[in-house]
Order: sequence, then C-alpha cells, then structure tokens
Amino acid sequence: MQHHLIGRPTSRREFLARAGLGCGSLALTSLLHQEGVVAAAPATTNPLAARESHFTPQARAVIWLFQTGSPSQVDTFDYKPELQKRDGTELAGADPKTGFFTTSGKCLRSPFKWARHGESGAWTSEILPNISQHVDDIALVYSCYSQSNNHTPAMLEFNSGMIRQGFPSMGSWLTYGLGSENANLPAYVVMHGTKPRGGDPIWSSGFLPSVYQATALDPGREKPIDNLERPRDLTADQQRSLLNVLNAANAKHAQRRPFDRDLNARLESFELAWRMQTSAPEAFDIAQEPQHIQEMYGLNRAESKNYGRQCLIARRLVERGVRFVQIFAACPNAPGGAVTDVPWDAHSDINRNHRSCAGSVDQPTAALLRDLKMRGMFDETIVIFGGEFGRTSDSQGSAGRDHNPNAFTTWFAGGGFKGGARYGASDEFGYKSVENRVNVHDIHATVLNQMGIDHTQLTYRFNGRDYRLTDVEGKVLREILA
Amino acid sequence: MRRGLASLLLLLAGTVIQASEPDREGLDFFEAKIRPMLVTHCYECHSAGAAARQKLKGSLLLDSREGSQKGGESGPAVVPRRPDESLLISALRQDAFQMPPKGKLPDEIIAHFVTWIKMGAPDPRQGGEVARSSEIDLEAGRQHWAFQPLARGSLPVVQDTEWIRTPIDRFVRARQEAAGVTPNAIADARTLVRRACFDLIGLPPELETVEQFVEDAENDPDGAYERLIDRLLQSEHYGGRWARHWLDITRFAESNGYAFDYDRPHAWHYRDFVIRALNSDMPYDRFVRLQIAGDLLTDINVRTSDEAAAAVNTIAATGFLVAGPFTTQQTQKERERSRYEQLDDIVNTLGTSLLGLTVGCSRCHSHKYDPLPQFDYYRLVSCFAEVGFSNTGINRRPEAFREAKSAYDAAHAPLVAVRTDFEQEHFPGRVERWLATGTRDQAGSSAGLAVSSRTSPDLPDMGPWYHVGPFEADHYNVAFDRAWPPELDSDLSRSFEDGKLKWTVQPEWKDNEAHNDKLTGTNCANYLLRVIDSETPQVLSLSLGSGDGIKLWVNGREVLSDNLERGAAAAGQETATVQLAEGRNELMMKIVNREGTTGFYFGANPGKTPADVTAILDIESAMWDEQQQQKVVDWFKGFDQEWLRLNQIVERHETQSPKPDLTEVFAARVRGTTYQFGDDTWKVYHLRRGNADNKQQEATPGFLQVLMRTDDQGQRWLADPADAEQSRPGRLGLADWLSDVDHGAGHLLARVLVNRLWYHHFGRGIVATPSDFGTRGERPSHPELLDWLAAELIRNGWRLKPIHKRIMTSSVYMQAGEITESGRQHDPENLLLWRRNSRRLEAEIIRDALLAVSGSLDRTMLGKGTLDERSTRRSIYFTVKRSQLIRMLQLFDAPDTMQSIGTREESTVAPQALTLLNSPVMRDLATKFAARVRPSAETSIEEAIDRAWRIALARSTTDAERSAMKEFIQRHQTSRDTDEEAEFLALRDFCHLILCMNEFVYID
Repeated sequence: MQHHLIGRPTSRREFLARAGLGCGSLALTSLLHQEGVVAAAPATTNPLAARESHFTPQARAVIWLFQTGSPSQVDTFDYKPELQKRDGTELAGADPKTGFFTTSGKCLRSPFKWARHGESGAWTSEILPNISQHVDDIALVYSCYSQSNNHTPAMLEFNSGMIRQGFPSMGSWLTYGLGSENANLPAYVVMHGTKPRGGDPIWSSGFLPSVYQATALDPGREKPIDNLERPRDLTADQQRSLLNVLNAANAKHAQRRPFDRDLNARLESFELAWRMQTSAPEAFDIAQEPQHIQEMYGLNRAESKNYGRQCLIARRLVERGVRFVQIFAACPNAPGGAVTDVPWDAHSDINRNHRSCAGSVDQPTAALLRDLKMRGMFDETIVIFGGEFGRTSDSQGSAGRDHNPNAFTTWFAGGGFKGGARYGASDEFGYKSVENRVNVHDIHATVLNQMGIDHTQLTYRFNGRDYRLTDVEGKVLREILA
Repeated sequence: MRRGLASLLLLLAGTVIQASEPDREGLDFFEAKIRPMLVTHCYECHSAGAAARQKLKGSLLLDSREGSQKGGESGPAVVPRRPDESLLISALRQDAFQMPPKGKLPDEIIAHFVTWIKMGAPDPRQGGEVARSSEIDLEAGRQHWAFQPLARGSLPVVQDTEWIRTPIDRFVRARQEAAGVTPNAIADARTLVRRACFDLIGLPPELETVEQFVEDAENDPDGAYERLIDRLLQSEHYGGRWARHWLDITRFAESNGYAFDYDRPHAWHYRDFVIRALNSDMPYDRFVRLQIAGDLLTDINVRTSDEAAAAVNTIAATGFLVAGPFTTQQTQKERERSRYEQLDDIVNTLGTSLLGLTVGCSRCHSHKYDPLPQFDYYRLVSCFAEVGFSNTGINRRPEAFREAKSAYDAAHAPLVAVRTDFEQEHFPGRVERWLATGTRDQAGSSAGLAVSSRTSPDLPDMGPWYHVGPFEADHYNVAFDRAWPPELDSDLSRSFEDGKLKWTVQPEWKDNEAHNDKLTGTNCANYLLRVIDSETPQVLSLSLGSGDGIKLWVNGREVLSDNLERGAAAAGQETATVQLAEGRNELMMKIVNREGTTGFYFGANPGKTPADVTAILDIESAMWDEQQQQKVVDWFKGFDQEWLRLNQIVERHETQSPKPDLTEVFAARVRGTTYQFGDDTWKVYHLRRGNADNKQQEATPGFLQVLMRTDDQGQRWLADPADAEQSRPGRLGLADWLSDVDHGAGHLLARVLVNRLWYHHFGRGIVATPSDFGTRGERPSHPELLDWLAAELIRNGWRLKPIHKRIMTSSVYMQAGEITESGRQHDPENLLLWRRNSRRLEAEIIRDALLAVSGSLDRTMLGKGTLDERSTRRSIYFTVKRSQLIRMLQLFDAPDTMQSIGTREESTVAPQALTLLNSPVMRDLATKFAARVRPSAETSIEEAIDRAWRIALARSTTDAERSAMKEFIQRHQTSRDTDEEAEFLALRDFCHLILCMNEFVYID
C-alpha cells in the first residue's frame, strides 16, 4: 500500500520545481498581474494550501499544553501508594545521575492528598481539582520516557524527535503535511509567556522550507504580534494598492528567477501579513468573549490569567482553522527552585512549586476541555498535556525533585482519543517506566495518525536522506484511540 | 592486532573493577583523606602530568588505581589489604625510601594510608593511562579527504577557453563540460557593481559609483571591473561587512547570557579587532594566533600611544576565546562541571570555526564518525587550562601620562618635603611632651590626651552645619569619586557652578537625628561642613548614616569612604573614631546619592584611644621598638594642628595626581575570572564520559593526532623554541600547530577558510557544510578547486584580499543568473555553478541598505556600540546583548550568539513583511528616501521615480515600470486630495514600496 500526499513536494528540489517551474507558475503570475488579487494561489503551487491527508483524519487541530519545566508524575496523575509509605527510606535502584543535579536516593512522598475520580476511577492529586473532573475525557499514558534530563534538549526532543537543534518541529511537519486551513492566520502558532529555555530553536522548521515555521508570540503582551497595525497615515485601500503594485513587481522579478524559491515565499508572506492585520487582532481579541467564558478560563485570577489567555486564544485560533497551537505554560510564579522559563521545575520544594503552577494551569486546562465540548470542537481537536520529562521519586535536597526522563505521564483528550483510557505503567515508585513504554516518537506517530497522516510516509529529503518526524521509530498507540 | 590487545586489556580492567567494586564509605575515605595527599605530595613526580613534563620518577604513577597497584621500578606501591607489603607505606614511613622527599608526613596521615590499604585501597580513579586513540584507527582516519595534504595537481584542461578568466574558472568549467552544462555569460555592468558592492562592503553602490563604473566599463570592461574590486577592497567598510561573518562563527556577544545576562561593557574591542584585522589584510595565520594567544603575546606595560593601540588590539583578539555564554548563577557543586562547559565552549568553537571539525563530539566518548579520540579532546582542552577572562586596563596615552606625572611629582615632592622636615624637626619631641601632659582615662590606660571618661556635656562646641550641593554628575560613581571643589578648599565664602551653589549655614540640622528631607539630587554629591572648636585635643566616637555613599574628612584627613547603595539614612550605619586637635577643627562629610531620597545622620560621643595605641602607651616608652614608636607618633599627628595643616596641603594635592587614561578591554587572561573550585580550578583532567566526577589522569596540552604528521605527540610545537627541554604555554603551541601546513593542521585551516570565503561569495560553499569538514559533512563539490584556493591563500602569505580578488574576477562569479536549458536539465540545483543564484541580503545588510538609500546612514567606524534601535550606524555596531537582541535583525535571521554559526538560516515569514509594511521606522525611512529622490519641486515625478530606482536598485526604470509607478503615485495623491502634502505623501508611499521589493533585498 503506497500513500502519497497529494500535491506535496517531498524534497527541496521538488519544492523548487513546484514553486517555480511547475505547471502552476504561469497561473500564479498571470493571476498576480491582475491588480487587486488577494486570493491564495492554486493548491498545487502554494506550499501552504490545504492538502489531503493520507486517510480520513479523526482530528483537524492540535492544542499542545506544554507544561514547561515538567510536572512530577507522582504528584499529579501517577499515584504510588508504595512511595507514600516509604517516605525517607532508601529508593531501591536509585541512580543519582538520573537528574540534572544529584538526588538523595531517599523516597520522597507526595505532599498532596489523592483521590479517585469519574467512572474510570483515575487517581489525581488535590492540586488539580478541575482537571480531575475530566478524567473520563482524557487518555492517560503513565509510561512515557525521554532521552535527555536537561530542559532544552528534552524540549527539542518533544518537538522534533531529536535532542539536537536543527530538526523540524511537529507543528512544522504537520503544516508541511496538511497545509493551512485558514490562509489569513499562521498555520502553526506558539504561545509562551517567559520564553521557554532553549527559545526559538524549539519550534524551528529545521530543514523544511521556512514557510512552515511557527509564529511565536507572547499573548500576555498588549500587542502579541509586532507591527500588526497599519501606519496611521496609510488607509487600508492605500496599503492594498501598495501591495498590489508591489506584488506585481515582485511576481515579475520572481518569474525571471524561477529557481529562487524564496522569492515566491516572500510574495506570499506579504499577502499573509496583509490578511493577518485584520484576522489576527480579531482572533486574539478575547474581549469579544463573554464575561462568563473569560472567568471560566480564570482570566479574573492573577495566577491563572496568563495561561488562561493562552488557552482561550488557542481555542479561538483553532476555531478559525489554525492547525497547530502549542502553549508553553505561562505561570507568573515559579517558586520552589524553578525559574519562570521552566516554571514546573521544582528542584527544591515540590509542594510550593506544584501548588503554585497547578494554581495557574488547572482551571484554564479544564475550561478548555469543557469549552471545546460545548462548542462541538472536542472530537476534532487533540489536546495534549505534559512536560518534557518527569521528576525523580527520590528527593533533591529535602523537599524537591530533580529531572527524571525515565518515567512521566502525558495525557491526551479529544481528537479520537479514548476518554478514560489508562495506558502503560511506571514501577511501584513511579521512578521508571516499565510497562508499555512510550517514547516521543510513539506520541508523534499517534498524533499524526489522528490527523490522517501515516508517520512513515511523511518524509522530506535533506542532505541525501529522507527524514521523518519519527526518525526510524514510532508506533501508533492504538490502545488509547477510540 | 594492537587494537585487539587493547580491548582485551580493557576487558580485563573491567573485570577487576567488577570484582572489587568498593563501597561508598571507602570511596568517601579515599576522597577525604587520601586523594588530597596524593595530589599534594606525590603527583609532582608520579603522575601522567609529570611524565609529560619528563619529571616522572621511578616509573611510578600514583594518579590512577592501576598505576598505584602496578607500581614502578621497585614493585607494587599499593597492595590492597596488605599495608606491610605496600611500598607506598614503607616509603611514607621513610623505611625503604624517604618519601615525600621534602620531609616525612605526620604520623596521622600515614595512619590514614594504612587504614585505606586495609580497607582494600578503594580508589575510583579508573582506567589508568587513558587510551590515546582507543577504538579509532587514526591511519585509516587520515584517508578522509579533509585530512589529506593539499593536492597540487595541474589545472584542468577545458574546451571553452573563452569563458576562462582565472584558474578558478578552469576547475568550474571542466566539471560543467563533463556534465554537458553551459554557464552564463558575464552579467551586465549594473548588476555587477551592485553585486560586488553588497558582497564586499555590504552597502548599495552610490549613484555616482554606478554611473562612473558603467561609463568606465564601456571603454575598458575588465580594467574597470578590476579597479572597482580594488577600490572596494580598500574601503574601510570591507572590514565592517566581513567582520560580521566572522562574528557569527565566533558566537560574539557582549553579555554573559543565561538568566542574569550581565553586560561585558568592554567586549566590543574584539569586534573592532576583527574589523581592523580585515581592513589591514592581516595574514590569517596571525589573525588566528592572536585570537588564541594574543594576551600571551602582549606586553601591557606600554610606553607609547602606538604601543597602547596595538596592545588593545592584540589583547582584544582573545575575545574569541571568552565570547561564549557564562552563567553567574552557580551552586558550589556545579562549578567544576561549568568550568568544563566553559572550556568545551572554547574548544568546540575553535574546532568548528577554524578546522570545521565537531571536536565537541569527543567530549564524552571518542567521536562516532570522525577520527577524533576522546584523548585528543582533553589534550586540546588542556591548552586552555589556565584561561579565564577579565577586563584588562591599558594606558592609552602613556606619553601624556608620563609628562603629567613628572610635572605632578615635581610639584608634589616639595609639599611632602615640608611635612617630612616638620616631622623630623618637631617629632618625636612633641610626642614626648604630649605624653608628659597626658591624663589617664577611666580604663586606666595612659591614653595621652584621650578623654573617654567624660560624658556628652563635655563635648566640644560642635558648631552648626554648613551645606553646599547637590553637585550632579552623569553617573553615581563619578559623583562619588570626583573631588568636587569643596573638597579642595573649604572656604565657606566660595560659590560654585556659576554661583548657583553656595555654602549655607543650617543651625536647625540637629545632631542625633536622621535627616532625610534636607538633601536633594540624583547621581550627586552634597557636602556638609562644620567647624568644631575644641579646648583640648580629644577623641570622638561618631555614629553616622547616609543615603547612599559617604566620605568623611577631619582636618583634611580622610577617615571614612564607603561607596554603597542603601535607602534612608539612619543611626549607626557607619561608625568612626576621630581626633580633634586643640582649637579649630574642620569636619567635612560628603553624602552621595543615586536617586530618590538622600539624607544623613550624625551623632558624636566622647571616644577612646584605639586599643592598639593604648597597649603601646602602657609600655614604658623607652622600651618601644621602632614600629611601636611610629604607631604612637602617627596617632599623635591627629592632634597636632601644625602637622595637620601641612598634611592637608599634601593630601589635597594628591587628589590632583594624574590618572592613566585606561582603556578597559574584555579579554582572556591567565587565571582570570572563572568558576573557582579549589586546587583543580586551573587543571584539566581526562574525564570518563565527560563527567567531572569521574576524573582520570591530568591532561597535558596536545593537539588532534589525526592532524599531526609527526611521532612526537606535538612536542615540535610545544617545546620552547629557545630551550627544547622546556615547554611553553599550550596556546602558543596550538597556534603554531594550527597553521603548520607541513606537519600540523595548516592545510585544513586554509581549506576551511577559503571555503568560508567562497560560501559568502556564492551562497554555498564548495563544501556545503562550512563548519563540518568531517565525514558527516558534505564532500566538496570541487575538491581540486578547494585545494587550489587553499594553496593560493598560503602562497599569498595567508592574506585574504588576493583570494577575494581572484574569486570575484572569475567568470563563475561575474556571470549572469539566466537559466540555460542545459543547466535546467542536468543540474537544476546549480551545483556546477552555471548561473548566479540570487541571494537575500543578511539582516544587518538589509537594515544598512535601508539606512543608506534613505540617506540616513551614519558611517562612523568602530567604537562602543549601542542598544538603541533608533541608531543610524551600521548594524554591526549594535551592542550584542544576549537577552536583548535587536528585534529587526532577529526577524531576518541574525544569529542567537549561543554557538558558532557557519551558515545562517534564511527564513521568509509574515512578521518580516509586517515589519516592512507597518513599522514606524520603515515609514520614517520612506519619508527620508522620498525627500532624497525629490529634493525640490522642480524635480519631475518621472525623474524622482527614476532616481529612486537608481539609488535603490542601481538601474533605471523600464518604461512600463515608470508608467506603472507614476500611476501609483497619482492614485495615491488623488486618494489624499484634501491633504496639502498629498503629492509628497504619495511619493513616500512609492518609496516605501521600493524598500519592500524583492529586487531590493535579493541581489542577482
């Protein structure tokens, strides 16, 4: 069985040929010669045009709620009675090199109260009272592991499958694979508060053409996107007229240089900019949301305001056809050994840190799930919640936990994931993933699958090799799919 | 065979380790009691380091477990569990040998050794002698093309000799012919001049330059073009343009990075060094040498301004080593690891930038793909073992300083002489008198005239405060340091700052109260002075407060100086014991404020003679030694009106002493700033798996074996040329090894450099991965050409400009960008260089070009940069602050400065277009551009359009373009018909449009 994504260039060379020399180029230039043309070029030439998937997709969009700095699995979703019992005793098999620093080798019990919820009876800790109400909507994977115990490489790994810089992130791969459903908004949006450690390379488009790059913004700022407002002395008509003449000149210039792919991309970027001027402010204008919705997302509380904004804007973007939204959780406070670029990084005090971070993300996360359901968007939107690794079951200092790439929990909701599912397991201390181990490639494969893409067939040739998001690995986690 | 044996040994070693895996307690004992002793007393003669220094004694290595147990010439030094059979113990007991030779260690320590051996001699120092190349076959590795000597073949023969302008063209054309691809003819003059200008100086050609060149080229195309290239290579902006390429590669920035991102205010000298080096066509081998060891080659005790300028430059060159990020937030435990990170940054950058090798990959294990053993990595790191950073001050005007200093000295000496004469004439006679008349204080000490038993009613008449100020400066520290006029002359009738500031008496300013509402000013000094009339000499104990800094003088003697930051003044923030002479005393306070509230507190109580003085006074004076005598004399000076008067003259004159005009330079310095973690701070060890907790033997300087064609492990470069027995700093050896074409890495150094030049001229290197010449990098598209260029560089004394010229006067560079049928068919990716690709300008050059065409570019060269985005200087003069990178530049893919960047990304995204369309800066530039293209109403719109075209694009409009643009302007004018300036605004819209055109930022 051979899957081919229709109308998709699969190498730089083919991209060149398509964007410039393909049969569409005549159509493109002639179109642009007509003044006032705004419409996107035909699907065969526009690298961002919506494209068919390999098979019928379950989901149309992804909202990835990235819990930067990494929550502790044994203090949120992965209840370990044995750990609670053996507080302060030797953790069997503890490896002091697991984390970034050195840990004590002594068990640290979770300082939180635990209870079971919903029909599925999933355990959650008291710091997530709102998400707890949704355990029947989410599929919990307890057996995740990653390669790096350091934030930046681990975040790179989560986004691109590789711990090194320079590889395309999943959002770029998806945009490359499926194009954009809303030509007026970027297809791939990243929202952060304090920029997560590692910065822009985390959401890089790597070796993919740069049109598949993320638009990264801080929605907490008054103007989330720079220079979105037209100069005051230029009316919309005047700017449109300027763009029309500019496009004609640029198209003519590009026509004579058909091998220079960036010329067309640049032409497209001006059009996107023009459209963003009206669509983006509208999409980002949460004032349009009724009061009760704003409050549901926690916008009235200082601790959840920023992350709530991120979630609410994510919903508005997805509603408008944005394919992939990645949120790096904005928590205004990061006590207990963390820094705001990795807020969940509770090195010295898990209790203080996690209460604070959970106070920021719990309500808005639950609100997003609820809101998506209310709007009938839940089934076609994948929501992912998790960090770049887990935390150690033994203590760092007296009350903190260090990084632990060997076990952590990630959950999925909507988009064809099986609500209430529980998959895989960590050992009895939550220290190592032992049953049905799941790595980043598996997660990527599964998400692509739900978006209608066979992860083994989405390839791009670079430096003589056909690259995949999932490298040479990845298995679809069918057990957690509806 | 040998490799087989090595692995067998490793295997065996592994078994031993397994068998005697020591417990944690034993290892802790070793770390606490044994290792420090071995390091301090034994390693000097019994370690790999000693071996490398040819100082190894008795073939005994005590810096590894294997070495200790194997022992030396006399047998095993350590036999686990059997102290009596261990030679180490008998040597320590001074039985068989007398060790250490400097003297027997305390019995307690020897007992520790016995205990340790009884425990089984637990020792984590695994591995023993670190394998030099472990599993890597270096001879096979040397077969990789990049490690081979430069090929010196003959030039290829081609059919199409007409196209050939230089030997370069032969290499290119030969491959094209083989593939049946036809290249382009030479581009037209306007295209060429624009291409060459952007390429070499990063600025659009001036209108006149274009016209002149086009005219010249009509008569003498080749000559005109060559002269153009020569002129551009002579332009000072050549350095400004090409330095940016180098700064990408060297991760240049002017702040520490990480969370706090402290500034490195003197780091910009490195940027200037690079610009100057390029402009003066400094040979590349010297350029490299200075960047690696400039501080070792610089004498900072300069005698002339010329020497000073040279010293600033050569020392600044080592900014290369220390430009990387440096985290200041460190726990004690992280320091050692961070130090290795810092060294890794240096070696990694060096490998990538100079040799195109991912040396850093060998940190934890031998390189997976390239013949780079882990052993080599640590030897290379060891070259930098003592490298820290610092700001080095260099006297920029030594002649002027010397002159001023000798004038000052001449004036100062007589003043000091008067005081000395006085002292010799009247002391110690006066002291004896003081002693004779002295009373005893309550404590019973003979305190001379001290009056500590008296209570406050007995305080002298303190007199009211006089106040003058604030004296404001640009910076707080200037306000604190400067001796403002009141410090030099306490005449209360004087006024200052053109009469604006006068002494005023403040009888209401009471003592023993905080006054935080009386003084004002920002970055300023306020002076308070009071005259105290004292009946007798006496001692006062003062309680003082100040917001912020404070200085205090009594009778012209400085008794307190504290430069700090704090809020309101309060009692007891400072204390001082001061002496009053009989009669009139002057007490002056200087209160220095940053911003906000400033104030002072003053309280006086009777004080005591300092204890160290009373202790002497308790001794019979005849018994005093010289030191005690002097101490007493010094104390009594404070009561002697006459001496105080003479002293004040001396001290006031001292404030006039000339200061050298120091230029601070951020650079590498031997044992400068780094993470400190004790004895090992300035050492480098071979680390198992790159882990600082798992040290093997100490590493000694050395180089990459695959790039050494000698058997002496680099001694050729490491030995001191003056004395082969002595070694010289590893960095000097490294610099020589790097540029040694015959035996060292010189051929690779040259290859990597010419490939970088090629990359910047063509947009793709002959090796498409300019920072990776290893086996995972791309292979060269034209290997013979690469070698020819490298050889040419060396032949030209490593000068870059001749190479630029060679390349730029070749057909392959000069050709047009048309698509030929054969090219499209056989080589659509243009690997054979049959056409000129158009290239987008880099971020800095886009901005520079925008400033240039709009007529607002400030062409000032060199000097300190700025973070002000409104600056109109060239973009290279922006300060590079890691956490505050210039947004406009970031948007167009300027590097993030964390690591060496050999090829920039080239992104095309909507935010770029938004910036170009909407940013106020662009609107402003368009306005200026419009004013430039239409200087007066006499200029017709058509003329203005054409002029704009020629300024921005170096060509005239076509008829179609002109009429389309005219129509555009008219339409925009009409749409603003009510506006008086409608025509100008329409012209501005047109100018804005040009600045957004692809043709403006993509160069053919």
